[in-house]
Amino acid sequence: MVALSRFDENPCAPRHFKPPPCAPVIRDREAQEALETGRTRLLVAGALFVLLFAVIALRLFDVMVLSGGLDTTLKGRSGAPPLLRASITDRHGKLLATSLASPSLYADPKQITDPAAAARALVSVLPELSPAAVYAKLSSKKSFVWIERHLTPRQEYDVNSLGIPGLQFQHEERRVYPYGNLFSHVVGFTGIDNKGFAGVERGLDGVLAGRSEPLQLSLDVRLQYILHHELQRVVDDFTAKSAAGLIMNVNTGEILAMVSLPDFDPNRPDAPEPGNSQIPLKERLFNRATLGDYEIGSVFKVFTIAMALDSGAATMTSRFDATSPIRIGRFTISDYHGKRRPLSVPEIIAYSSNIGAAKIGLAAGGDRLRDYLGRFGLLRPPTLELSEVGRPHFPRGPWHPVSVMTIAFGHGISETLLNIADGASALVNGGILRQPTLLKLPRGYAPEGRRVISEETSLKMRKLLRLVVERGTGKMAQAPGYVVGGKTGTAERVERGAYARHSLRSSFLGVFPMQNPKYLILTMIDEPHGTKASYGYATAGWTAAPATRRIVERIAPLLGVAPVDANSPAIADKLQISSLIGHPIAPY
Amino acid sequence: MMRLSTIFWLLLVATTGFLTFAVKYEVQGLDDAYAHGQKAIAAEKSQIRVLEAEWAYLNRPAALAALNQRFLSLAPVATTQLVASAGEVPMRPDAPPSSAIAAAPANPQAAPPGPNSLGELIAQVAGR
Repeated sequence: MVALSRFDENPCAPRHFKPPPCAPVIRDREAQEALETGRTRLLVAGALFVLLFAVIALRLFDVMVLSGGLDTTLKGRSGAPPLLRASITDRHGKLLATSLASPSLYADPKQITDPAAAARALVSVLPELSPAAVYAKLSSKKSFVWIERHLTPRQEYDVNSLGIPGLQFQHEERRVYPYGNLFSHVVGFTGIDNKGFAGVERGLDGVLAGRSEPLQLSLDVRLQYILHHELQRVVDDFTAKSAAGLIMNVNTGEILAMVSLPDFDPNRPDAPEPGNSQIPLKERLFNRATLGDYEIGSVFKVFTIAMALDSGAATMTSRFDATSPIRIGRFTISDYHGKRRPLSVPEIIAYSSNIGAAKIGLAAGGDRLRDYLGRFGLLRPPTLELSEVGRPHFPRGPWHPVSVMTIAFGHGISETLLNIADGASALVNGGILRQPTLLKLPRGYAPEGRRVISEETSLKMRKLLRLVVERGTGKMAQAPGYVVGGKTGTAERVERGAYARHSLRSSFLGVFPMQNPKYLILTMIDEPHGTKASYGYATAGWTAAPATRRIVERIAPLLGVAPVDANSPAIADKLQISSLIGHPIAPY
Repeated sequence: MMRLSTIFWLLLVATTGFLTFAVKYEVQGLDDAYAHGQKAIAAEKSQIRVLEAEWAYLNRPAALAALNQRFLSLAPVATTQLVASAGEVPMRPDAPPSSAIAAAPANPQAAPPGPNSLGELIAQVAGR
């Protein structure tokens, strides 16, 4: 009765009504619990599904709405194209070195049925191969042999049209140097597997391998060509053995051109030079501008005199007796064209008096000289983006008076041209030594430097260098309108441990425009021989100085240096040595 | 009632399935097109590199100097040819009075009729 009252609560129901048996009344506690469990499970499963769908929905929202419909992590099935080694350009974006995809030919000898015929066919389209070598490769038992690396697209086409099965191409990367010999040492070259072997390619190998946009150097193709051309001309005119030079921005430390002769073609560094095959490869690969260290001779006097003026060991009016040669033990220090009288500091530098410079060195003392040379960065290897940098050589122990005297005029100490150029930049740019660099700096930016001499001393050095070109040994470097200043240096080369009298090394340090120095040109010519046109002279004044004049005349318009009248009061005022007004020194 | 909902769900499953596949194939097609485009870009870029290298090679200063010697004989600018500042440029001589210009006889035949377009110019040059 209880059940009836539950299922049929209608009191008006017919009497014969029986409740349907379809809905069992579950009352068991056990069954109730099972139902609860089922419900909970359903709820958990439902929640799980809701969560999953929510995740998918969120992700879809993220992909389609938030990231603008682009998923950057997905790549096409082709994958990214291989990263080529970065190109190298000059400061104006001219291409100095670039990587091109080039086909290399290999063979699977197992697939080649007739090696003799295949070898004959191959040699007919690639005549530089030797038939015997190709035959040997094709009939070997290996399954992979290189036939020839780095073919031209044309050769690839020719080989393909032979239709020999078993010949395959692998597309490799090849380094190309469009300017050939022009940048041999400074840009350098890479090996067959694109690893930097020399120059910037080696010095900045990691940088070049890991980036795609070009690396811009501080070099300028036009300046490099002019420097190369003029140095080659000097080498040819004076039948010199070698030459080197660099052009530098004295206010930033940027190197605009760097040449070393003889040179090589970086596209084929080991190929013999046409017409120059007798010059050994080692000589041609050697970077004389940064790696070679040389006794630079009288150019070095600029450092001695800057030291003396800055430290107060001498003033512009000090006189040093150059009447007779100095004899110490077995050494004799004499002048090339001795004046045989006491000389003032401007005269010593203008006439390039060894005796005078030696006496200045002695007056200042070895410690002071050493201290200043260290400040000018001349007692340590230069820092540059090249690995080919040489180190200076000088007496390691305490400097004896003999060493001090010879070092004062640039003997008994050997320096890289880069060190000399960098140190000399500091002398004329107002006294700030900066690190030389081969990388282009942003326009108007000059790196932080270190003050090595006072601004006042630097102004005096400008006047002295100008005097050398105006009235001294560097007269041949006079480029009208560009107010060149500089210093000559003629050193006798050391051969078999002794100075060779007639084997010279002539160099010239040129700076322009002297009223506001911007650019420095350092050139060195090894073993020049006098000619009829130079009246037999092979000294710096006759070889390197005129070359500097020609270089200045050609590069100044390109660098935007406007010609001025050197005798105009505004400029003469800046460069006139006050003690010489009214009593100019006698021309050299 | 049950049947109607079953049909509805079946239809929904079929449609979404079809759409999914359609989208998948479309994406695959786009991916192929993308890969193809990438490959074409890479090929084009490599072509550009070759041309750039070629351009640099043809513009070697030594080669230009040789061409100059052969065809132009230009010389480096001499210092005397340079004008350092605008102040050094001499003033233009006094202009003739405007009445003289007005009085000058007009000469319509002075200038030959020039080509009006590049096409005409090419036609003219080709005709010669």
